[in-house]
Amino acid sequence: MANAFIEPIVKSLSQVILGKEPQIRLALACLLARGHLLLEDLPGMGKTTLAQGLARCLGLGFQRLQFTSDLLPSDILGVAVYRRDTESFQFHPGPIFHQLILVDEVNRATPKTQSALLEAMEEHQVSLDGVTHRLPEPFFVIATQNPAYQIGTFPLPESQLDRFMMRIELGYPDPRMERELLKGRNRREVAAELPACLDKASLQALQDRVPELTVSELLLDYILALVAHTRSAPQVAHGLSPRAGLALLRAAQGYALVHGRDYVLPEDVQAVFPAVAGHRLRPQGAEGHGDQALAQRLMQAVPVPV
Amino acid sequence: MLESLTRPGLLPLLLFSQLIVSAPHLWRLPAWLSGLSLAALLWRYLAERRRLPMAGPWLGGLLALLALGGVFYEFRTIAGREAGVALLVLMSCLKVLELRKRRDAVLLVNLGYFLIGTNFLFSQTMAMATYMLAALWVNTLSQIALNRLDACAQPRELARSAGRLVLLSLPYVLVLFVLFPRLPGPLWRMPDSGGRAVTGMSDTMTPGDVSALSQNDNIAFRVRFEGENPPRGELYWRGLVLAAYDGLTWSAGYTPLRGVPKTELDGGETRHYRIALEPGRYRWLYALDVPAEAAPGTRLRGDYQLLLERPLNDRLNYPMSSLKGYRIGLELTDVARLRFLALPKGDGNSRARIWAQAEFAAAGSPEGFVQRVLRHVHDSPFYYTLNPPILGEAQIDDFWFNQRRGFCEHYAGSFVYLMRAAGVPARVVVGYQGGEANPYGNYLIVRQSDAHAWTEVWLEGQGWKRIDPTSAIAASRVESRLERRFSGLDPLFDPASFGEAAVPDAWADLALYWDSLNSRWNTWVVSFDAERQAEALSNLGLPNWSGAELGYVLAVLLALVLAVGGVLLLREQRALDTIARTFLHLERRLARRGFVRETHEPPAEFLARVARARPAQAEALVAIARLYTTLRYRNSSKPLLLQRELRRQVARLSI
Repeated sequence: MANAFIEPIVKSLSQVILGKEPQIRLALACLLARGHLLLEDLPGMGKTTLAQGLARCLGLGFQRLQFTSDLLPSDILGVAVYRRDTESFQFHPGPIFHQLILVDEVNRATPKTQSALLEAMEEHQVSLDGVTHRLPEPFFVIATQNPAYQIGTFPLPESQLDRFMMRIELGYPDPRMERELLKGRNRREVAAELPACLDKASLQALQDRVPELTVSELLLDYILALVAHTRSAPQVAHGLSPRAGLALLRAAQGYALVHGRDYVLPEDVQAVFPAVAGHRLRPQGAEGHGDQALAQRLMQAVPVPV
Repeated sequence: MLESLTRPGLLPLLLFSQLIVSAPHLWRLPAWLSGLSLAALLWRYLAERRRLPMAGPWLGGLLALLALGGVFYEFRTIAGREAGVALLVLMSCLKVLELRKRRDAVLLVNLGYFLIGTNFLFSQTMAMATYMLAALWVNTLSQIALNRLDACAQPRELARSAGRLVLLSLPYVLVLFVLFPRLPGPLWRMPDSGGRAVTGMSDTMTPGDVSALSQNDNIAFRVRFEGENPPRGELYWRGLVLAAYDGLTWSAGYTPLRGVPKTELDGGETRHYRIALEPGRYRWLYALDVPAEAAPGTRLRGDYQLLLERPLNDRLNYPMSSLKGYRIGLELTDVARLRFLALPKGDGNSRARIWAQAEFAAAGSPEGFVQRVLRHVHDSPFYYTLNPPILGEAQIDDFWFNQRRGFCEHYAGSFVYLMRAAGVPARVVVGYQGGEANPYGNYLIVRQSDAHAWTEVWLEGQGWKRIDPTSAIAASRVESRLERRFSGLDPLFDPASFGEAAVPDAWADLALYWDSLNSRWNTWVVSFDAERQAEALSNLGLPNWSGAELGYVLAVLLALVLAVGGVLLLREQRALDTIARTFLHLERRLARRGFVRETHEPPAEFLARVARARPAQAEALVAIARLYTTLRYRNSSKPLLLQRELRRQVARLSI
């Protein structure tokens, strides 16, 4: 059963990021569903630690990329260098050729660089000078961005936001956990020492199982009703796209797997809905993308079929 | 949760709807009984709002006894229309004092529908019907609120669905109204409301009788002519013929039962019209001078009165026709001549008798005598007034020579007296004169204030001729309040200077419009009897069904509606599969225990929540949740078996 793999991961990650089990489960669900994750939070909330911990636990190659405004696409994708000895170009893979990539402050890079990254995320491959290079499998991007408006940032357009399966916020830890944090060791060190709970093969096996989890007609009804409601609700300018609906289904399946079930419940859909739909919805009459509260409200207006 | 009435806003709504439903009755009830009812409503409201104590069973019983005693004290009975309804209203208002459980509220609301219906026993006006429709809406609103868990959470939506229900019922109301078999008479005799004052004409005429009516603006009847309305001057609505005088009062006296000679009715042009009498007590009917036929249920007598075969206590709508130019009573028997010449002996009006005989001698002929008397009325200072002085014992003398101020009955009475004194047969006719044309409905409104008395004089070779001595008064001596009325009389000698019709102002216009609505209401709703029903059916192109046939048609229609509704309902039920039905059943049971599932709450989560609150049943609930989840969200190899198991477990759950 999947439980045997997942629960130890949740447990050991909880040692690193204290009191954030729901977010850990969501992040895991996202990863198992082969989606990418956008972490939106203030600096110092443990985004990097979470990414590191995930990489360790899952036994993935980890690379951190700090986005800046002078970063070029080739800085992340890699370059082809001419070699005199072979009289040919040789591809030097960039940092993106890792299994788990943490992109810090994704909104600080220029749109050109951003789109290079997001394209790679979507296609799972990099095309350079007519040669296609496959990215490693599994491939998981955790991007972070600072929610506060800052000078010199390029907010991700909606079409790019859509590439992230989920957007979650870590939020402040509760006081008890924070006290624990202050008393304990440096969490980065703890993260670096986490044992790997999975190997690459078993992770891929889990990922392969996600689309095969049982989804009943009734659950599809519910997902369709949710999507339809976002399209007709007056407080939303643009509803969810079919791709978003698919993401919702996959995320719910991932979440069900994280909970060790081989079938999906409305509870799973509800658990992932704010994270999946929040950044894809634009509220009527307001700038920017919607927040999770809007998604929550929309969700509460849709009855669960019995 | 459904069983108690603690949902916010529900109780005030129930009390409000009770108030609305009983308000028209409370208006009618004796003040202290209404006060008792209102106090009960207020008490219950305060008990809810301010947490005042509720009435215990003892006090409740005492109050009920008090109400029973009160009704008996006021009406001397507890049955019948007035007392029965009073008792019902009182008891339902007192019922709110023990309004605790859902079943109390159900009783109250259902009784409310009945109470709304009882209003029709008292009033059938359009305003009342509108009010009842509104009351129906409010009562339905509480009915819905009572059966919903979120009760008054969305008052707008609640009001809308109640309104929709009421509106949806209207087509059925219409069909039932048109098609329901009408019985020839009332189903049960309405107990005669002895205390109800009925305004209208009496069957005698004493000075002051008609002028008393002239201030009364109530409608006597409405008339709709086929074709043009006759000119105002011809609008004499004949009621009673009064032949006997006792020195004070004119009455019908002994009248032999003789019909009208057929020859008088034949030939000649007739006017056709329909009269809608307002409810009252009638022993005779009115018709335009002179009727050409007997109205249904009446006998047309030799003096052209329409006497009812039995007195009537209701609204009446009858077709009539009248002769246009007429010559009536050309033959006068000796007995009849004596009747129409009779004067009381020793009534003291000797001066009038002598004056009449002298004038007759001077005139030389009856025709000339009539003209002389009318001319005298015009030339002498006779006044037309609503406030005539009180006459002395010798009434005619006092009026004719001293006071000379009077209303139409003074002139008519004196004129007939003078005619008889000179040997010319004459009689008094009372009825109405004139009528206000309503442009919105193309009909005439005749009011009590149009009551009038005039005379008929028998002339050799001409028969009975209508003479209206009131119209001989000089226009300058007509009291300003009576000018409008007088102008309609076709003054005999001088054209009335104020004869122009007053320009109707907006208010009068509105009043006329309102009356036309009321008239239509009365015609098509209140007096929708078997005859009207047949008319309506033939207008709709339907055959003229008898009462029994109508019953069958209605039954078939009803069966059809029920069948269609049933099929639709069944289909909806079938769309809900067994699992959903089982779960909804469970949900309803849990709701009654206060566990309500939010619509967005997944079923398993909901059951887990209930299980946490009810540890004793937790195991059963979790098992049910597991079965449900398996059936709904997993691939199950034996769904039918599990469905049965689910049903069994839900049935076995004791909560």
